[in-house]
Amino acid sequence: MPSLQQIIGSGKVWQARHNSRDSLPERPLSSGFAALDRQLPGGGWQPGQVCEIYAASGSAEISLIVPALAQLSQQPRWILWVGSPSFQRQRLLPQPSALLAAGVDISRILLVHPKDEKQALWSLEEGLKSGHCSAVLGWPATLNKPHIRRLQLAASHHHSLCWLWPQLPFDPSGSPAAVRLGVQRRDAGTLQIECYKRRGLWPGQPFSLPLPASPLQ
Amino acid sequence: MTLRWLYLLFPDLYLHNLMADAAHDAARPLALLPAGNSQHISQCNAAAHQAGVEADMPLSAALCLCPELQAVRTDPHQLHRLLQARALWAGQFSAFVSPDPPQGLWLEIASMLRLFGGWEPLQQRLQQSAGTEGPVMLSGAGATPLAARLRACCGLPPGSDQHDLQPLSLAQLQQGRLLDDEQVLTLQRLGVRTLADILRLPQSGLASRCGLSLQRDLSRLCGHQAHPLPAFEAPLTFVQRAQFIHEVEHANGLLFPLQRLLGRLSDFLQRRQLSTRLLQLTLSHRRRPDSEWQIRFAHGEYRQPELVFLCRHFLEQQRLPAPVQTLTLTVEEFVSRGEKQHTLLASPPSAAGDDHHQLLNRLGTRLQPQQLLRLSAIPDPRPEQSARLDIQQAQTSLPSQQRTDMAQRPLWLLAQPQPCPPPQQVVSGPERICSGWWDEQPVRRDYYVVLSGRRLLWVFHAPQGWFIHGLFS
Repeated sequence: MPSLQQIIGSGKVWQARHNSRDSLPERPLSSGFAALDRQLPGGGWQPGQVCEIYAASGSAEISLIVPALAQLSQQPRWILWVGSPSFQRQRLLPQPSALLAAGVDISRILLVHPKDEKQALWSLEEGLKSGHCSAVLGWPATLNKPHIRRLQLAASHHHSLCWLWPQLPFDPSGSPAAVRLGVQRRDAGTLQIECYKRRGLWPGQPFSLPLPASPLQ
Repeated sequence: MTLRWLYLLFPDLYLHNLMADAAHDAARPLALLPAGNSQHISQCNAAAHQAGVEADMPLSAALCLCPELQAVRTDPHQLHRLLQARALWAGQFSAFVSPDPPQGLWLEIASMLRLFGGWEPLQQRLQQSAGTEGPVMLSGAGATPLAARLRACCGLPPGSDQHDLQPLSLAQLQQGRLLDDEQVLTLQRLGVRTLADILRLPQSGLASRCGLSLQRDLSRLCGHQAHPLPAFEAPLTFVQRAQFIHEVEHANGLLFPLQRLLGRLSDFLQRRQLSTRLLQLTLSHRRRPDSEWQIRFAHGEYRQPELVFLCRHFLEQQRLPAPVQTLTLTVEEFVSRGEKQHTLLASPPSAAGDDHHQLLNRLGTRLQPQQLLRLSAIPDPRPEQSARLDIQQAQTSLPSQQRTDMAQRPLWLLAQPQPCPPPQQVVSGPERICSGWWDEQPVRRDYYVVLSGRRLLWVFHAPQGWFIHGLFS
């Protein structure tokens, strides 16, 4: 029977004091939605954290981060998009006009079309490790915990932001990602968000988020 | 007379290079045979020496002493290239370098002593730079090139006159390549023992007995006659070769020798303030034509760690067609580094444009060019024409300006519109897009924003029916 020290040593137990030691090393990036900022640990998107967002494509799951992207694109660093979601077995292509209207500088965006999942994870990790990306966005089709752990470590070492939209149903058995959100569209202008996991806080109650009447809505 | 010339002698240049490329089996005995047909060993490594092998020993005798001895014949072309590489290295210490084949270099140092702060600091710098990588180096300095060479070969301290050279014996003069075998024999018959004796002889008699060349060399040695030397001109391209004692069978085995070559390439580029975007590797095989590999980078690179990283990823994906005997790294295309203005005040490190490209290079080693894209906007009303994906290298990103007159646009667009039933829940619309009369793809569509289940879709109605064209995410 393994002792508690062994279990802690193998990294299976998250310890709250680890969080307090390097607690919120960076100023969080405001998500642009007051209701969401209140729910996120530290009051915004935290650099150095992987965030999983579970949502069907078309349910405003990108709108959540577009105000943050607009801020990040002011930095002279890349925003790396690895892969893209698919809809009715078709790959979706990002539209510059929607991003431009939201104030994102699209010259900072670098798109990677990976050949397979292995290449996608490699690109995600390389982007995080390089330190030349302000944010890394990914739509992984498979996801296992060691992969997320690697991404989370790379992100926290280099204080990069990483958002993932896993293209698979929510895995309730847990994940090393720092933040896990579930997003559903309630109607054309409101979202329902559930915070399954947020590092340093208890999971929150589902709350609704009104979307601004932006072209992205 | 002043200390004018420095002579650098690399006695084990060839052997060292062979050993460096096979560092993993440095303990294996190795012997060099001279170029040509001679079967006498010219040099051997420490392991062979321990087994009793010595220079000038016949190969058969050496093999009796040490059966596992590996004998390699010297390739004069490779030796020439190695000396060239050394001359290139020596270029950092003197503006005038002259190679003295097979293993020596002359450096003009009188004009450099002021820069380096005297002879001692220069000597230290030389040893320091040679010590990190490189073969054994003997040095000698003197007022004339030949005096410098004699001192280097005989291990004499630097001197600006010829007093310390006077007692040198004929054997030492032969070692210093002032006399050849025949001249030594003639002089021995004359009862001459030292350089002082030779210099005392009448010049005309000496010339008739030992040839004009000796007379000329002696007056050059003493500085009575000018000694013109060919200047080494640094090549404009980088070509260096690693030679393997044992054939390399896996692509990863090439990485170690390649690292060394890349280190030299990095120095080469650093001195010229250049970068490169194309490395060419030539692999020679025993029974096949050479194979050529090209490693392209998205952006110019010159730093060794980065070059090694990129080459490692390249090699990981390669499979050797056959075992490799030699590896040649050639770089012929260079790009300037671009004017990088250093500000007086510290700039934020992330703003360094140079590092900006590092990620592109790294991604480019694993991904095909068409997998790494950039997005640009085209002012075309047709949604499918308003975006362009450029291959990253193209470098033609259009200035993206923000359109304020646009109605809502979805973030995601389907590559091919999907037919769908007529929508039930219209949020907004219609917006008519009727355009494209100037090319062969005119469109006439009414776009609606539609709520379908929990998704917000962009749907259009055309004469052919209803289609989904985008998703609001």
